[in-house]
Parts: sequence; C-alpha cells; structure tokens
Amino acid sequence: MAVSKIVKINLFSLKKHEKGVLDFLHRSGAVQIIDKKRLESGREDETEQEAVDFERRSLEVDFAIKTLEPYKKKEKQSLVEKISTGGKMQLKPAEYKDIVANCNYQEVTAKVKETEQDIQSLEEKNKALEEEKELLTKWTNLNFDLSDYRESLKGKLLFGKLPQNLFEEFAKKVEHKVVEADILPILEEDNESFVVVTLAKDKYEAFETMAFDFNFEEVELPAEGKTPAEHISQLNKTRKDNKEQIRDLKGKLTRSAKQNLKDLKVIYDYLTWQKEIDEAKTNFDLTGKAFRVSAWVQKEHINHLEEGLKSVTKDFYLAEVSPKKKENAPVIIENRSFIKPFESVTKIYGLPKTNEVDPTPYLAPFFIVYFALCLTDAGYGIILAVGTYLAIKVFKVPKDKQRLLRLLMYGGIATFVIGALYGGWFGIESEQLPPILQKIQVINPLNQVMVVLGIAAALGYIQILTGIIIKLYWSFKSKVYEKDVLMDALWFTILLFGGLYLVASYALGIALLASVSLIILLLVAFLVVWFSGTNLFKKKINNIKKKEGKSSQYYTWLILGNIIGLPIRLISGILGLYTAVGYISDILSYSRLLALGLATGIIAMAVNIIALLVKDMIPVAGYVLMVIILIGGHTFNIAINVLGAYIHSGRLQFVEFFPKFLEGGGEVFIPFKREGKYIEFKN
Amino acid sequence: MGLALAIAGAAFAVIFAGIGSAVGVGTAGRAGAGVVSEKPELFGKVLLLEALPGTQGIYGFLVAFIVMLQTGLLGGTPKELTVAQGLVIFAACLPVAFGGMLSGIHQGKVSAAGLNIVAKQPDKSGNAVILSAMVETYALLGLVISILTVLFFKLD
Repeated sequence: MAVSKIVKINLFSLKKHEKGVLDFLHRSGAVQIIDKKRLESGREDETEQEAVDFERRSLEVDFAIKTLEPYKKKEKQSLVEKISTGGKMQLKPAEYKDIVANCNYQEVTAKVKETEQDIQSLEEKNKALEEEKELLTKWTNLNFDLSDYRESLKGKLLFGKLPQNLFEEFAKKVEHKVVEADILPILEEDNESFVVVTLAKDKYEAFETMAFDFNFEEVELPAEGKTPAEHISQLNKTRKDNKEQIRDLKGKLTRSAKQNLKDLKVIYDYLTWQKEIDEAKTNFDLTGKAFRVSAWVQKEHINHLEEGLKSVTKDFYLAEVSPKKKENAPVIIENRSFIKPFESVTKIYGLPKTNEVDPTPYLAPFFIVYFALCLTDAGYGIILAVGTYLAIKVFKVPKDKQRLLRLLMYGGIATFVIGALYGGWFGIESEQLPPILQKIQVINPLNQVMVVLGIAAALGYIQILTGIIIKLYWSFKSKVYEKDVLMDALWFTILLFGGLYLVASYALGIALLASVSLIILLLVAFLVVWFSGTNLFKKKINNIKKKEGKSSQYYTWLILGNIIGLPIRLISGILGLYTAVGYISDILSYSRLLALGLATGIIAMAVNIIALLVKDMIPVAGYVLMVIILIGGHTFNIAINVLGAYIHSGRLQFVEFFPKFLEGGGEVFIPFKREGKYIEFKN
Repeated sequence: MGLALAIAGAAFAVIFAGIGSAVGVGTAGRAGAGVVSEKPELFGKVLLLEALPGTQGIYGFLVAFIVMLQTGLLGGTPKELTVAQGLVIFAACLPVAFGGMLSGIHQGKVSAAGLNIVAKQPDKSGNAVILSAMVETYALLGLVISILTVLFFKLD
C-alpha cells in the first residue's frame, strides 16, 4: 500500500554467540546489515582474509562445476518442474549439513582440474601431430629417410613448392642460369608442384633470388629417421593412442560428474554463504567479549526477529535507534496482492525515497488502460489473458516470479474490454463482424481518429491533474508548505479551469460557464506571474521593518516600492508561465496512445489482406499458406505491440506522471540473506 | 501522375523509415553480439533492446499501407488522383519517413549504449529499454501526423 516503515536497530550480544546470531540472521533474511565501511574506515583483520580465502575456494569449486557440467548425464526434468523450482536443487537442511561435513571437495576439484589439464594438453599435442601429418602427406612419394644428411661439403638438398603453371619455365631457367642444380618434381596437386632441389651450396643465393620471382616456397620437413610414409603411420598411431587416453580421461570426468557434481554445487553455495557471513562480520563493532551490529529492518519484523534470536541465545539486547543524519534508510514498497504486479513497473523507474509516496497504486489504473489502448484488439486481449493465465497455472510459476505474467494478464483483460468497445477483432473490418460485436462497438478508430486522439489527451490531462493532487495531498499530510507547493496548487487551478473552459465552450456550448472559467483561469495565471516575479525592494523593506518596526517610512517604502517594482515584477514573472509549455507537451505526449493503437489494428488488417491475397493467388496450397500467414502474422503483431504497449505505457508514467509528485532514488533494501545459486531448502 | 506521387510517398515512408530501423537494429545487434558472447544467458534481454529500433520500419509500412487503402490500390481499382492530391499524400508521408529514419538510427545507438547496462547490471535492463524508448517518441509523433493527414484528406 505504501512505502513500508524501515527502522534502524542496534543488536548487542556476546562474542561467543557471534556465529549463531549471524547464522540466524542469514537464514531469516529479515535485516540489511549496515555497511560500516561506507561510514568509517574498514576493520582489517583475519575475517576479511578468511572471506577472501572462501572466495578463492568457491572459485575453484566453480571451475570444477563448469568443467563437469558438460559431462553430466541429461536429467529428465520436465519443463513444469524446472520453472516451478527455478532449476534449483531441493534439499533438506539435514542433507545439506551432511554434504558439507562429508564432502572432500578440495580433493575432487584438484583431480578434476588435473584431468581437464591433461585432456587439454593431449588435445593440443594431437593438433600439432595433425598439422605435421598434413605437411607430410604431400611428400609420401619420397622414399628415403628424412634424417639422412641434407647437406654435403658442397651440395645441398631443398624441399619446396611453387605454382604448377610456372614449374616448367622455372626448371628451364634454373638449368640455364644456376647450372649446377637439379629439380625433381615429386607431386602435382591442387595447381601446385612439389619439388626436390639439389644444388651446389655456392649457387644457393643465385637460386634464391630466382626462386622468389617464381613464388617458390621452401618447405621444412621434420628430420626424423623415417620415410614420410612411415612417419605418417607412426603419427597416426600416436594420435590414436592419445585419443584413447582422452577418452579414458573423459570417462573419468563423466564418472566424477555423476558422483560429485551435485555435492560440488552444494559446496559452492556453502562457501559463498561463508564468505557472505565473513564479510558481514567486518561490519561488527567489537569489544573484548561482546559485539554490536547495526542493521535496517522492517518495523513489523522486529518482534519476529527477537523471537528468533531467543532460540539462538538469551544473551542479547536489541534496540531501535534513530538513524544518523547522513544515513538514508533503504526502501521497501508493499502493496495489496492485486496491485503487486504493478510494482515491477515502479521498479523500472526506481524506488521512492523513504519520505515519499509509493506511486504504484496510482499508476496501476492508468497503466492498464494505456496498455489496452495501445493494443485495442479484443481478440489479442483474449489470447494474451488466456495465454498468461495458462502459463501461470500449467508451469506452476512461483509467486514471486508471476508479476510480469499477471500484469500481462490484467492487460489482456483490459484490452479485451476496450478492444470490444473499439470494435477490434483480429483486424477484421467492422462491417464484416457479426452483428452482436458490431452492436458493442462504440468507436471506429479509423473513421473517428479525432475522438481517439481526444480520449488519449483527456486521459493525459486527468493523469497530470492526479499527479498534482497527489503532490498537494502529500505536502499537506507531511506539513511541507513551500513555495513550489503553492505554485503547484495554482497550476492545478489553471489546468482545471482551462479544461473546464474547453469543455464548456466546445463540447457543451455553455457560454456563461466558459467565460467564468476563463476569468478564473486568467486571475490565477496573474497570481502565478505575481509569485514567480522578483520583488526588487523586498530586502530593503524587510530591513526597515527590522530596524524601525512598522514606521511610516516602512509604509511609504512598501507602497512606493510595490508600485515602482510592479512592472519589473510582472515582466520577470511572465517567465513563470513557461511551465504551461511543459504541461501542454506532456499532454501531447499521450497522442502516442492513438498511434500505437492504430498501428496494432492496421497491421492486423494488413496481415488479413495479405493472407487473402495469397489464398486467391495460389490454388489449393493457398489455403495452407493463408493459415500459416494468419497465425505467424498475428503472433508477430501481438509480440511487437505488447512490447510497445508495455514500454510506452511505462514511459508515460515515468516521464509524464512521476515528476509531478515524485523525486525517486530510494535505496533498495538488500537483505542479508541465504540465497543459493544451486540449492533451495525445503521443509 | 497524382497516383504516382501518392505511391511515391508510400514508398518514401517504407524506404526511409526502413533504413532507419535497419541501421538502428544493425547497430544494436552488433553491440548485442558482443554481450551474448560473454553472457549467453542474457540473450532475451539483448534481443529486446535490439528489437526496439525496429518499430520505425513498421510505422513506415503502416503509413504506406493506409495510403494504399485510401488510394484504393489494394481493392484493385485505384482512384484517379489530381497532381495536387498526389502531392498532399506525398507530403503527408514525409514526417514518418524522416522522423522514422533519424530516430531509428539514433535509437539504435542508444540501444547499443544501453547494452552496457544489460551486461553490467542485468537487473536494470528496464532502464535501458526506457532510455531507448525515449527516442522513439519522435517517430511516433511523425506517425501520428502522417496518419492523421492521410486519413483526413478525403480523396472522393
């Protein structure tokens, strides 16, 4: 219903109960421990060291989990189960304790790490062997031992390749110019010639320059004691051996995954929690035997908290204290279950401050109507409402994750109602609708665009007035009387009578009401000018009043000052009317409701027309295509427009509505809470 | 000639708004691929931000479609339009064409920047979406004017 009351508490107890108290707080998740490090310099001691150690260990376990995950046998978990548990293991507290006490996770993680490294190094080796083999396959025609000497006192043996079409010319040129050289082609493949060159050592340089011109590339062959063919078969054998080893190691990991993965996940959560507890400890104030901790807690949870602590120890003292000036209490908003889904809209913007109003209940009706106006198709509304309802029921979505779905369900229902009034049914033209549906239809948006635009603007007008009312009400309630509250009240009157003037003169045609409204509007506008203008002589007059009291000089100055200062005050005050531009542009912004509403309807119509065209163009198969186009097109239209409706309805709240009464920027209440990445406790 | 001008207007709406969306979605998509490569679990949120600049193209298509309806092109019997009428329709298509193109391109940039929020603080993705949607306002305003003009301009 509102911003929930959060108070600061101090909790004192004995050091020997520190662990028990912390464990309890962590389990209950009711408090946010105040981070002392933000206020004072942090306490350096072994707990921080310990926290770092826990983190290191949890990272090791995390690595092992990530390594083992791919080797896990696929568990047969139904989608329903997956969604309702959030994919987390359900564990009894006793099972958890058992695993934590008995699992030798350090040994397991070390082994997993070692195995994984072995696999990687073997795989790298095999890759190198593969490359070597690739190289050798071109040279299998050589039938001499590669480890033989490739150099003599005067001669040299070279391997190389060059483009096939250049080979003959190359061979000729080498024979002519280098003379003491011999080129022997070994293989011609893929437009390349592989050759063995024997030449005199002192001619090598001459050969090299020539070779460069012909794109001759030297190839390094491994100098091991085998012919290439033999060498390849040996490589193959090694590779096969390695592969077998890898398979063995992987089998090891698969076994380990089956045996240890579950435990490792539990340990991971355990280590993370220990780290959290240690980090919390650094925020404790200590004496020789006792400790103190400050925390935020919801006021209504204090009793519950005290009860719980009693079950841990009797030696404690808990007191509510008022926060320091610099401290801002975190914020929780709480609403009735019907309104709760709309909190997700508020949270996109951020939370209100502790002393501000929770906008959720006020935005809810507007949001849902805007959402419906952006869709305006009763058919889509039904699909959305039924679809989200079924999703919640069939998948047994847990309550705290239902919010968005619920919101869309409400949106679907509202869309159904408004869509029926607008005569939108899957984009079918109104003349072709069944008579009953035609009767319900009140507006045809395509023929009465101005009416729809008027409705959108009127809604905007109402919402902006609502925003100012909330601001005024809240200011009176918390007894804040500042100048901007007065200005808001004045603007409220101007907007109210401005609206009345428009309605009276254009819609109702009551001239008297119109002129009365106009007069009031102008009067209030004058007040706005008056109050926003600068009073030049204010200081002077106040000074005289302070010095002499209400003397005759004071009255002279008061009257003269105001008369002389009046033109300046009025001219400077006119700028104050500029606010009106803001209000008008706010109201114009609501025209997006018209645009998005028409967009949905017309795209739906386009889908229908295209589907019918296809049916007429292609015989027989046309019917199938028509159905496919209808289903695909309308699904696409629903998806894209639900997205647009959600975003733009939200934007109208954030940009047009909230600034009228809300500053926002409240800190989120982050409870000190035991929340597992992999496990969840069941009772 | 009149009809040709009207159709040219429809084409303008589709082409330019489409260019805006294509560039915008492209920009956001490229940035999005980077996020997904690091955190594949965020794909849904990334896709959402990538899809946002895509609406301009739809708005352009929408106006073109209304023009085709109004000129009777979809019914099979196009109306005879004077040059003046054609010019009016053509001009009416311009707001959505250029509003869509430029806002699409820039919305893409905002979406791409918003992906930083998605990557670093996935809980705050809603803010990135709203930031990006702010740009779309101007495509919507263009759309409103284009639709109003085309619908209100009676051709008979």
